[in-house]
Amino acid sequence: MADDVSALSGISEKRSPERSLLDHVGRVAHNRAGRFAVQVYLSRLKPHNRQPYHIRIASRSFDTLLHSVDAQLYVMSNGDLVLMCRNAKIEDVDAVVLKIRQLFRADPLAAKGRLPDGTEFTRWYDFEADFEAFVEMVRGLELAARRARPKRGEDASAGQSVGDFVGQPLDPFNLAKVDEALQRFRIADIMREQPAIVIGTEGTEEILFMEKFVSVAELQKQAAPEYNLLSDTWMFQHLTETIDKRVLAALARQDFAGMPYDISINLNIKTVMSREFQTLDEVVADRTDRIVVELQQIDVFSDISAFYAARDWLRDRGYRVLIDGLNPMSLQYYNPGLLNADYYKVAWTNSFTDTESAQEHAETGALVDSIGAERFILGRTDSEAAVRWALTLGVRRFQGFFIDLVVKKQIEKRGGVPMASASRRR
Amino acid sequence: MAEAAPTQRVATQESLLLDYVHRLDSHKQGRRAVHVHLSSLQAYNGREHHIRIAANTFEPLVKMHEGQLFVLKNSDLFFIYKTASQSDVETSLLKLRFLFSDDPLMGDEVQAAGDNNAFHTYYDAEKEYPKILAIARAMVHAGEDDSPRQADGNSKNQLQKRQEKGEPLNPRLLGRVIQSLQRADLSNMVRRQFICALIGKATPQPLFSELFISIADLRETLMPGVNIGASKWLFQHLTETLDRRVLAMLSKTNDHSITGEISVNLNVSTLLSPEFIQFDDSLNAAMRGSVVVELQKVDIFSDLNAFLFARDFAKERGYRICIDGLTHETMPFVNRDKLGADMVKLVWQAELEDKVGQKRVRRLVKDMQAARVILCRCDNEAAITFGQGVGINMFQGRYIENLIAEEARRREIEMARRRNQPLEPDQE
Repeated sequence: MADDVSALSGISEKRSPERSLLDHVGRVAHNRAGRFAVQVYLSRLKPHNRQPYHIRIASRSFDTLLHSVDAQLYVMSNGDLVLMCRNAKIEDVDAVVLKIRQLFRADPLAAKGRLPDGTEFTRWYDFEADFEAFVEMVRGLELAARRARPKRGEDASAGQSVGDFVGQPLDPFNLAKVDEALQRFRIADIMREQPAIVIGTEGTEEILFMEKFVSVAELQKQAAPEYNLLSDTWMFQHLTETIDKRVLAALARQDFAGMPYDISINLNIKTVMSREFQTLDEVVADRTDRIVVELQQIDVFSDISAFYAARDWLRDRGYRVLIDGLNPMSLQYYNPGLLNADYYKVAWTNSFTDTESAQEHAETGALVDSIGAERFILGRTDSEAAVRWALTLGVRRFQGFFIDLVVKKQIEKRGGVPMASASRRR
Repeated sequence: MAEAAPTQRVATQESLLLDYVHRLDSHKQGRRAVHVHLSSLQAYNGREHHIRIAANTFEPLVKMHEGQLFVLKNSDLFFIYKTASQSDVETSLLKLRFLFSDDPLMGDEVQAAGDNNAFHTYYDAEKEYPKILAIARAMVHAGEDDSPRQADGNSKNQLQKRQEKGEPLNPRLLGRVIQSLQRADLSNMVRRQFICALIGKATPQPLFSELFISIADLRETLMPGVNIGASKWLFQHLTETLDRRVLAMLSKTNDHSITGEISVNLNVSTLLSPEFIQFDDSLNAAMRGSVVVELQKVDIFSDLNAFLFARDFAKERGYRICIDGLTHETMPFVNRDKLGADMVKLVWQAELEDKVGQKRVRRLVKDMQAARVILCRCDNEAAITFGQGVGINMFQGRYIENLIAEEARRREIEMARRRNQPLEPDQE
């Protein structure tokens, strides 16, 4: 048993896990009978499914097995798990692999075990037949790890799903610094806008609203290049409160009467209740119907009474309320319609829809119907596939990179004439 | 932490009101006043944001110099305005009535916004000046009196108000608190509360006990004068640090008082951390089955994927999952079965009885499966009666702790009596 302990802790030792595994393989080279190995390709999962904690926890799934049979587990630098066994029952090992697949069922590869292109989630090596292949594989991993070493470490990969976010993780003290830097920062310079559109039944497109938002990547680059602003959920949420105030101040200079399209802005519920928002409200005056306020689901659930109060006040004043931060999976777990907002923005992720069953799709469709498809907006629409997925649910409102291209093409086709606004002017 | 927040002696709204009323004496013609009794609303309608929204309703009139608004310490509004704006004032009050339409104070009968009622009282400055002056004086007097305005009830509101004072929690304060947490001895801040089965009038049967850090104690010890509630996000971050400290304490504990089935509050991120794995290593398999992990709903919805992953891991290893902190407002969003939670906790609030009603709560409880619902923060018998009435059998809270203590005392006396019967009293 001592061996497997050192194998597991091999991660933090100077010697790489690949090296340890190679040593071990060398020791058993002349004693291959009854030995086999299985490689679990965690490295082939989608990046957001292979954060350090995923790897850590997946590796623990073998615990019981490691205690009962002659087996050692190695966690490779790329996240792959390699289990070496002697005289262990295939079924027992397979049961653990199945458990891991279950754990990662949100990932298409793990869910199916094998992709249509033949990519496998696991590979088995019988030492009596595949020993050379196994050694070669481990050598390959060792080489790759050595080349990748300088980039490794949990910190660098913490914000993996958002590629460009590197830098030191935030701690409260540097959060304070970033907060202060934001106070002095000209936020208007990094404010962007992105259209949300409605596709009519005849294929005509109109602008529903323009979302005004702060590019966090740009903010980090310009105001806090040394820190990873997305490294901690709660500290980032705190930053958004500071950002809100700066955005409101910038918006107060906007000409609300002359806007070609309705706009949407992202705010914390706390900000809606603040004096800063009251100031904006006065500037907006009777144009409140041209503004959509986007609130995050996480904010809503952290204090639902405050949300209800803010929603009622906003709608009473004539604003529209949008709940942001939903995804196809959340629609499987609760009915956002109970929040009684004007719009619900569902962020497209193909990693979910890849594993979505026909029954799940039908359930989502029924939910969308019951709330009203006209209240749904598919966000982060990055492909035609995304548009198709939404259209089968009756959703005709979209936003995202793919939509930006559609809008651009439309405008080109019309010789630079801007697109029509879907809002009914008063 | 040395630099305490400066105690400013700013003019209170009460003193400003009195000052204004004094000056009003010379130009009271064509002026009226309305006293809006927000303090008479139910506690659930008297939260800070309600008051702010109510006050904002008068903002346009203030901006147009049609009147002056005072937001008093007891949350009442006092608005003195030009008689010409009467209809605008009535419109504002109608909006407020709508905002608080669920409050018993509003009654059922249709009332004109121009009449006096339990919600608001009008005064004619010219004819009723002495009355206005008397109210302003009384308010100054009441404002100076810091004693709780009602002996019972509203203690939560009071507590909340007190907490809302003080220096707001900011990143630097948070950083310092986390630093001192590394050294602080948390063991004397750990509290334990039992979750009990309570059927009819039978004595409570302890099922498991929740171990938690008393935030009030923590605040008193590590950050006196800091308003923790000022930033919910920073507080959430703080709980992650607390989680790790509690786990470390539990992993090392030789404390035999921490026995039996326990529950601990954790963030999803903590469940996925190396610290939890260490904690898990320190338990044997049988003990894992006796540990309940309590998770917050906001944490679950903030990353459903991470929650599902953590849940599968925890359940696979034998832990049970409880979703904490639900209210009648959030329960409809929690599909207990689908989320795979073994239990949920519903927070007792008097409004469950006064506002939501038995019928609706029974429905919500039934959807969760009554046998899996714990009514927590029960601080009086009414909570138990209500809970049992809607089908709940598991309870937690100060009232339950009292019942347990009483039961223990009763047994002790019983034991002493039995011991004393055949034998002579011990001489100690």
